[in-house]
Amino acid sequence: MEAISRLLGEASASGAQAEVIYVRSRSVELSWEKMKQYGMTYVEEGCGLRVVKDGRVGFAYSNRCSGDLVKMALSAAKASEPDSANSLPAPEPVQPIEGSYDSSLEEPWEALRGFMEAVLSYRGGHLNIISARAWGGTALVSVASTEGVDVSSSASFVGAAATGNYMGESYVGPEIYEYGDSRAARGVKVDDFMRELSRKAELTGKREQLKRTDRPVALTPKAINELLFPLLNHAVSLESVYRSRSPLKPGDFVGNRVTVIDNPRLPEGAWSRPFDGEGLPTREVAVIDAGTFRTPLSNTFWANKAGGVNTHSSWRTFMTLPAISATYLVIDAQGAGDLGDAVFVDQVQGVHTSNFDTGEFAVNAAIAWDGDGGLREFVLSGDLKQLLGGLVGLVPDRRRYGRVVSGTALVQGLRISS
Amino acid sequence: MSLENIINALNLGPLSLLRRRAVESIDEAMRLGASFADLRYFRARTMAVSSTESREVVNNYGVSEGHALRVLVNGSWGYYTTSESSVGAGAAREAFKSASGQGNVRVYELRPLRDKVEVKVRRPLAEDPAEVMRELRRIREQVRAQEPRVKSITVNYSQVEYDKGYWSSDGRDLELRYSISRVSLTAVAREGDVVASAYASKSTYLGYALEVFDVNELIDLLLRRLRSQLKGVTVRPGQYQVVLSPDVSGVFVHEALGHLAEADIAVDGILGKLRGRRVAADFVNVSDSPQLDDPMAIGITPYDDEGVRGREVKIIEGGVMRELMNDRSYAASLGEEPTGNGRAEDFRSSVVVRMRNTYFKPGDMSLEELLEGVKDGFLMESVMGGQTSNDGTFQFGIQEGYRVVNGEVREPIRGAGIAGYTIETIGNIDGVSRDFKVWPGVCGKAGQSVFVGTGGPYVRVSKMKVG
Repeated sequence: MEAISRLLGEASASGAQAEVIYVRSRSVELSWEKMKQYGMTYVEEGCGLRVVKDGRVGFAYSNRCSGDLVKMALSAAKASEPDSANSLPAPEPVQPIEGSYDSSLEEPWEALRGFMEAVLSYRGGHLNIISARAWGGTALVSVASTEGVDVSSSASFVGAAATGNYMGESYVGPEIYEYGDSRAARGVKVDDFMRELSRKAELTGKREQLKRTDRPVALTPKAINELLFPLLNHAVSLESVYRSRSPLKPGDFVGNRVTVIDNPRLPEGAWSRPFDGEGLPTREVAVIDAGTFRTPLSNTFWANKAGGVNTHSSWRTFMTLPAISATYLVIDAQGAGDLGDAVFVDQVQGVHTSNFDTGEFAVNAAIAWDGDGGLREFVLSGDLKQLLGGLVGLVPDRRRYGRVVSGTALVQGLRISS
Repeated sequence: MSLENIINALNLGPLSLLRRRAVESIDEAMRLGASFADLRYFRARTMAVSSTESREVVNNYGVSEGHALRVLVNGSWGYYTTSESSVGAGAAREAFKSASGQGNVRVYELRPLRDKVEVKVRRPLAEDPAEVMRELRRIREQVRAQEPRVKSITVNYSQVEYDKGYWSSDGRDLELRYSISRVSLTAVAREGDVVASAYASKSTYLGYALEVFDVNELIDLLLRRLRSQLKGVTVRPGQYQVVLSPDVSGVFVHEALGHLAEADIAVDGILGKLRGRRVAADFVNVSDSPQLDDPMAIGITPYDDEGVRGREVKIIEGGVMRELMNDRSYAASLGEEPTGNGRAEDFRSSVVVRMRNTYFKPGDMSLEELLEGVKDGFLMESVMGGQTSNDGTFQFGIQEGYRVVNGEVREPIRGAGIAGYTIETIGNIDGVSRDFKVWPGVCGKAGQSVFVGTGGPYVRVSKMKVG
């Protein structure tokens, strides 16, 4: 693309190494609330320019891919301190991910209307649908650099979601959120997640106070996505490890034979990607292998800085410098066996209030139940090491939810306060 | 009458190119059959600078710019949001196509108005990232010098300068310019096997945060939190008497009560059913305001993103549940006056009912009097954020808190959270102090983040879940 070449040329002429990330997306969204409905067409284009000059890194972004970016990025570089870890990567061959583009999502209106109708058809009885959404579209992402990186990927994405609760005459149940997403329209199974929502609304139609708190918890894949993913994602970043901001160190034994793999190439995964934010090929990384924390996730800077392997886990938009993130954490462990008197936890509130550096959390278990039915909210607290260390095993109901693939996890040793 | 005719009738002088294109797109939407149309222009110039013990970098520096055209057709909104430099008749056709369903949306129409608001700064914002970095480096080294146990330190500065335009088919023609600037410190300290992590930040709409505030106070705050965590003890879960500081009471009132008083949540939630009913003692008063005379009241919203001039919303007055916050759609559907709470994070985002500056009003007790009444409980000084659900449950994490026994503030705690059921908790407030402070925050809802202020006095709750 001409604008990218021009930016790289201008930056190079100033004596800098340079890299441009370019994004162009077009998507539509349908939204339903009882008193407000809308459709939205969203079109955006933008460029992010990273330069490295004299060991200093600079960055600038804009919705206009113009020459001003070069001046701004060079000005930003003057603010950073020289560091030999600042460098741009050399190119590596990138393999596309099969099935990541569904051309029907270039005009996804019909599919999205179908999703909305399917979601709203579940209204009735005590099931109160609070909101429904469907979205879909396509995006082109390109990364090119003066070092020879030149990759492009067109991908489609689609999803649908609903929020609902039990609504009685004098009782309002907790808000339950369910959704499904994919790279292709056929991958969104509305009936699957709406049946889950209906089941949970029924379960929470009456809730009792949890009387006995010295019980194990069974975290559903949704709860694992909400609680474990963000804590673990922070902890296994090489930046966090290097900067003493992780409760984990490589080599730590963290759990009862638990294995966690970051898989950025999961088929149909809406977040799957053939290359990372620096244009390097993505690949599976065994983060925790048979209970031992083996490989922190990294990008070029932190691999250079900390002396570790570059796992090509750079994550960014065109408005930011590359950071580090997992894509999909695939969790495996031995079978959980008999769940006994475990308390099922499906939705937690307040994970963002956790102390990510220490791994400590105290979250509200908003959707929970046991063998006798729905439970009123309670506080679930502990830390990441307790969570991983207390993992007894997984139930064979493995599925992808959000950014994890896992079965329901039986965990002992977390604190419950009701 | 078209928007252009209205603006010309108001004798506003020549239209800028931007405004002229806005008029074109709105008139085209109305010609196509929309019953209402509006256009938002959004430009944010951002700078984010970071200094840590291992890296100094400008994380974010640039311009985010675009438009959001919205049309009302057959009771359904249609948006066309784009990063294109201007929009015209083509955008109207795209928006019209997006409004493809039958709905029951109504819109509260306003009188024509032209206004231009610029929120003046006390200290000019930064122009050169290198100057900012020098100051951050100084702060970073000061923290390390004062506390050798600090192993990791991040000093961040960010600023965003907003230029917004709003034009609508009912003749609103508004321009708004303001900025938000923020400095934050995060540190991790270790002593033996004990790890502590603490955070402190200040934000303002008054210009360069590094000069508006005394950074030494922020450093002292960070170190106090860090040191209290290093010797903090884990709490025994249970129900306790709790005194919430202004920082915590502000977040509590935002998370636990404010969200439930947003009209879109209230219609399905618990507060919608309680309007006009007593929910708390008569000394409990809660409001949301577009502007407060406090440097950290960063929910500043003179006009919202639907061109509505903001007004105070009295959510709880004298212990009685009174008003909801709304946007133009919910105001019309509920038959109420608009409050100015329709906000969108940027041009990419739809308008959602959002808080601005939400706060408990002060009472007449002192902190000492509140503590005297605590036999076995906690003083919660600082939160890590929180979350609520529309059935009235809430949770937030505590980063600084202390055990209180027989009125005496004792050892610090760590790793604690507080949670409960809003209506029960509001009803359990048995004392409010004379103090009042505002703290800045960023609120997430519907995938969008907006700046908010939260504030209040010290508030005592007779029974609260601590875990």
